[in-house]
Amino acid sequence: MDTFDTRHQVEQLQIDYAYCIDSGHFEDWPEFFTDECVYQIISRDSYEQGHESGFYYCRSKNMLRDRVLALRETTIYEPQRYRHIIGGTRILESDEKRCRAESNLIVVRTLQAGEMGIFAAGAYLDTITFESGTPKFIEKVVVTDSPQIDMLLAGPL
Amino acid sequence: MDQKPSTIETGWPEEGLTRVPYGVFDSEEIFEREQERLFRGPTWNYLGLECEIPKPGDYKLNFIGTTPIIVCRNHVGDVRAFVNRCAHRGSLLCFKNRGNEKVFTCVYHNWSYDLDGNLRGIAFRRGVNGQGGMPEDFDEEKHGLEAVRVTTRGGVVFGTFSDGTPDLEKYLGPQMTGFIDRMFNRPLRVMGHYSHRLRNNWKLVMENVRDPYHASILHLFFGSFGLSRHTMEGAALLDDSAWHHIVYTKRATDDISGSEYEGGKLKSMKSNLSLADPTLLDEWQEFDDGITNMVQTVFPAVTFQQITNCLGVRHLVPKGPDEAEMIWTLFGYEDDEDWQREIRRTQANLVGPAGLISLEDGAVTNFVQRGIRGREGNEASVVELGGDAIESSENRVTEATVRGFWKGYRDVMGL
Repeated sequence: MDTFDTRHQVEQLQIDYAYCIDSGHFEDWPEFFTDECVYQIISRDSYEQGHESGFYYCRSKNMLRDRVLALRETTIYEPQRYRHIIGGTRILESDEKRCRAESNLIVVRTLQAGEMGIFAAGAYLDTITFESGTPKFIEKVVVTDSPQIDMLLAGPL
Repeated sequence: MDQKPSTIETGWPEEGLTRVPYGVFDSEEIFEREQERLFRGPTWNYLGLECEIPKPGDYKLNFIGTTPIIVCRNHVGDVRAFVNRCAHRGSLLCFKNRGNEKVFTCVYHNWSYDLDGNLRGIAFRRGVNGQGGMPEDFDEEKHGLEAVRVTTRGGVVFGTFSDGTPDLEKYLGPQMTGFIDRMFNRPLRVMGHYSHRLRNNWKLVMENVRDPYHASILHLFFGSFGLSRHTMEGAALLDDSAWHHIVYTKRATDDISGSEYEGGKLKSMKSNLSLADPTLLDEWQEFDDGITNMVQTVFPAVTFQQITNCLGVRHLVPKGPDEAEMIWTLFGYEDDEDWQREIRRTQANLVGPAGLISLEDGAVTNFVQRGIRGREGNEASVVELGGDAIESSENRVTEATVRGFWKGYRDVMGL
């Protein structure tokens, strides 16, 4: 696979991933990951200090499914929507089987009364496998530039 | 903001502590009085953990109420705290959240202070070529940083502006002090830091934290996965002053048959749910007293929590009548093994602004802030679960712990 192909596949994966979350199809969200995977949301300050704990930490696809179960069944919050803008993807390393990539991320959150604002800005630090034919995330670390969350962080980023 | 007669004018409702006038949650006048009487008054306020400033010269920034504070370790290793305000023209002295300095130097005009807060240097003190400079009789000793009285226990640093604040152990009483010693019993290691912006008055958060009534009702995850239910063994404790509280439960001690949790009577109990990866709730017995869930507040604005093995500090900083910031510090111990660290890290999913058992708190305290707008007059909330008792009990279907907060509040605020 040449660099152009790798970039194309990674960008397409990010587009599909963002569409899944922004359209509220949370049940499909875990399918972007391998069975053994890591998904984390952590602030840049904590990430750079080597802290373990952030906002989300899932270490299997089933834990992602449990987050969705909680979102659907036990979590109570006002209706809201995310809109992901992902860009500036840099392919850091790649071979036939996998690649590491970093992308910029902005999420606009819109609350039901109409208030909207930048909810998160940061980066995706991704490790992606191509081995099953469909690219999937082995690891996705969402590093948020701000240490602060406004009110609550319900759905994934 | 609605301009209604403030609670300072109308007084507290005659029912006493079973009523809380909504006016305390959105008044500028009350907010200003809190800064003066509560945060600058006879209270111990959380400043940080000693492990965050291990070496001489290490510092971190924090707040007492709205006042910016520097907490540092001086050259002989003692913890010191000062108002983060240059004695010259009032600029923030430090503007990075943490660091290490031999002296604190203001960027504005280079006035510098040692690690004990003494003024040590003034740029152009003697002027230039005999012209300008400070007066000969300017007394540097009178222009140090405003000091905060500091105490530590178990590596937790508290500060107070008042000479009248009793020693921490007396302030807390033996039972509350004992719970501090229980959790802060050996060297700590910080595992995470984050901040939670709340669009509501800070006291709504303190009420929420001290309210065991809502925990298994609002937080469906809590009840559904058996983390905490009123049918479990536990207690709601208050010290003699009632200013401080603890609520704890012991998991795996209950039988829900015959209770409201059984058979879908309570919306909060979804017993048909199961986790695809139950290792989310892996745990080990952290303390030998069998307590699996413990929330402790030290009046006015800090909470220490044990959610099975997820240990943390939630420090609440008021930002205005209708805004607050909760600063979280998650920690373990230096001697944790890797598997313990991994369990703590996984359980951190339960807490914070994305927490499976706490996410709703950021929503519901904001719902109150919005719900109390457009009032007729001096309406008040009803805090009457368990009658008007302000005492410890094994029963957690009580709001006695919330009433305790308001007792402390009224004691200090003169309301």
